Amino acid sequence: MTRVLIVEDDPQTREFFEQSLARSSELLLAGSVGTVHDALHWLTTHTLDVLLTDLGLPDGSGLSVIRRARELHPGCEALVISMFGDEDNVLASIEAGALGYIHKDSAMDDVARTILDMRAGASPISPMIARRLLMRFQTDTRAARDTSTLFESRTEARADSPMGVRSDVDSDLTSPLTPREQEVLVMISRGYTYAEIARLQSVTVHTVQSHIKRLYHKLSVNSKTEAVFEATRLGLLAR
Amino acid sequence: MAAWPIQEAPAWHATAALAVVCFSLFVGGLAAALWWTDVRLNGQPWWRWDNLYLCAALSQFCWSLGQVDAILAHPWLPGPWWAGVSSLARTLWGTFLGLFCLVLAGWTHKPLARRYWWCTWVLLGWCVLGNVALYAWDTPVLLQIGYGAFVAAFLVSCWYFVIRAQHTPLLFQRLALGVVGINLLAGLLDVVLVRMADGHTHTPLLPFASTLFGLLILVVMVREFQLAQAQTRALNTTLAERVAEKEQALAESYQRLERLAREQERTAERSRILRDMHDGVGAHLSAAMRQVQSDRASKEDILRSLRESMEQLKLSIDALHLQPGDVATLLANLRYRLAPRFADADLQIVWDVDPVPPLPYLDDAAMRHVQFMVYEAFSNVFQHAHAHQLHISLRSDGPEVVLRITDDGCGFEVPPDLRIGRSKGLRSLAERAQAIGAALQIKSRSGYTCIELRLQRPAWERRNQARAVAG
Repeated sequence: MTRVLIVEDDPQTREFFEQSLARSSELLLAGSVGTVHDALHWLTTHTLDVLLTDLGLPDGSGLSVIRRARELHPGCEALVISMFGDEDNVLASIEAGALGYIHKDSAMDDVARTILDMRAGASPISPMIARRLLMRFQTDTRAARDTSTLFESRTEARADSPMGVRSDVDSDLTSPLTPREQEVLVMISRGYTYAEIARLQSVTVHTVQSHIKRLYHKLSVNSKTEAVFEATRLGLLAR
Repeated sequence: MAAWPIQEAPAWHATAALAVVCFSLFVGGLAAALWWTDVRLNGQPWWRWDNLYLCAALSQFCWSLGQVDAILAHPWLPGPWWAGVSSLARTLWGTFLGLFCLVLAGWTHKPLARRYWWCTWVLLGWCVLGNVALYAWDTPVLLQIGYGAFVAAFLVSCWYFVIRAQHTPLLFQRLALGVVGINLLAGLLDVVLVRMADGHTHTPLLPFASTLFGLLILVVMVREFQLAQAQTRALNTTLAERVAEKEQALAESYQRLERLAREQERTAERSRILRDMHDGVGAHLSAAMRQVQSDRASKEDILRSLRESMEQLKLSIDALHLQPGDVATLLANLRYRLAPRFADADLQIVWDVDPVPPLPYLDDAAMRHVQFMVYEAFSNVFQHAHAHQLHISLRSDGPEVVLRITDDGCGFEVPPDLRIGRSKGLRSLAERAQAIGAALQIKSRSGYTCIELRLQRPAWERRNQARAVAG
């Protein structure tokens, strides 16, 4: 059974999602809270498999709940409850560690299906988000090339340092999209469905969906790595 | 001023005279250079008699010429002629010196100054004639009268200057007063001592006292230069302040313009959003409310209206992020948003969308028109067509980008003029196509309906493509 925590401040919407989970025999409602404070406290005393959280909470943002859940429960997968599924909020959620989103106006069956699809390796994505991801990874690749050049020169200067070189930072920052991932993103941005892409690429739908999930992981890692690198560069973190 | 008799003089006298001449030439040269600079830079006429530096230069040059016979054993001209030239040079020295004092005192505007100027030249002319009469016809009377009148006029001028300059606080006028006084005393002394010399050589004091005029001129020029420097510095400071003020004013203007432009943009954006809300969400919510108020609508009808309202809201938000002219992404997003409705309608979608480049002239408002038009076309298919297959294509066709939405539904009657047909939906399509400058064509019969929208590609893009094909 997949244990699900719901974080939603609107009681009616929370009740809707609770009922959606109840309709599936594979999903178990592990907890249901309405504030960031309650959610963070719950995370320290319970375990979960899926986090379903709203972004706009009375005492903070759902992004902090996502980050904390990923820290305390690395195997946890997060989905954001989004009113419109707009690019800015979805990308911010993915950077925080979410693997997808559910519309607030989804049907009950769709809620359960989306959660189970995500557990099976699929992540929802829209053409607009695909386009933003393409632009974002292209920007990250250019910045990573510049940064790795800078990083190499600094590394050479610190070659005899007892701390050595942080190779994980270096490799994450410079990893671009694979050709297949790029192709998938391009086709999604052009409006093709998973089934059409799978047919055109002669792969399974699951393979196409896993590309998206991997892209979300990359985006989250890149965001975290960039934050760590910037903090290190600014002297906020010890090298 | 009588010409010096050419007599044996002490040796130091020639050296001193040479020093006086050199000093006078130096001062005269400096004054001439400053005068020429004045004429070149300030555009003054070179013949202006009230130019301080011109008067100073001419007086010093004339004085130098007048002292040559004290240095040279053999002057350049025969004795009598050289004596005439020498005395005329000293006369001119007196004339220009008087002018210098007038200009220094700032009295050139007074009628007296002009009278002095004309009177001096008349007397000078008289002295020239007198010299000619003396050497041509051996008649000294004219010359004596001329020189006498000139000396009298010079003394009167000196007296007038002395009286007036006493009451002035200006330092240089008082200095000039002092120098004039010393020279008058020296001249008087020379006259007395020459009378008393009784054939013995007397070393005149006036040539050396007159050097003080050269010194005065030098001091005046230095002072003028200092004043000019101070004025320039003050002007530069004032100019710098004015430039800074203007730059500040310009920066403030730019900021105001920027604020106005931002305000205009915000207003335009607000208007567009309000129009969107009116045409999209507002219309559907109103329809839903009417359905609720009437007893005829079913729960499913009301739910459909509300879902369509939500769809419109999401499309409005998507439109905010669309790149101008990116019709391909607009279509892709519409398909994504309406995927549940496609599924509910059990439609087979044939997706034939090429990655056509964006059409930059389609701004936010135009893109929203295209979005509404495609949504309207899809809505017709969902609600009325009873179609099984929906073919959506977007491709470049020569100078145009062609969007076609084709279904195999039951079709409908297309009025000859869409703008005046009975169908509100078709009228809306026609109006929106006209608003964005696109050509709209609708064909429909049983089993086939095609809505075609042709958009012009930018001219520069067509040219580039033609070149690429030709190359």
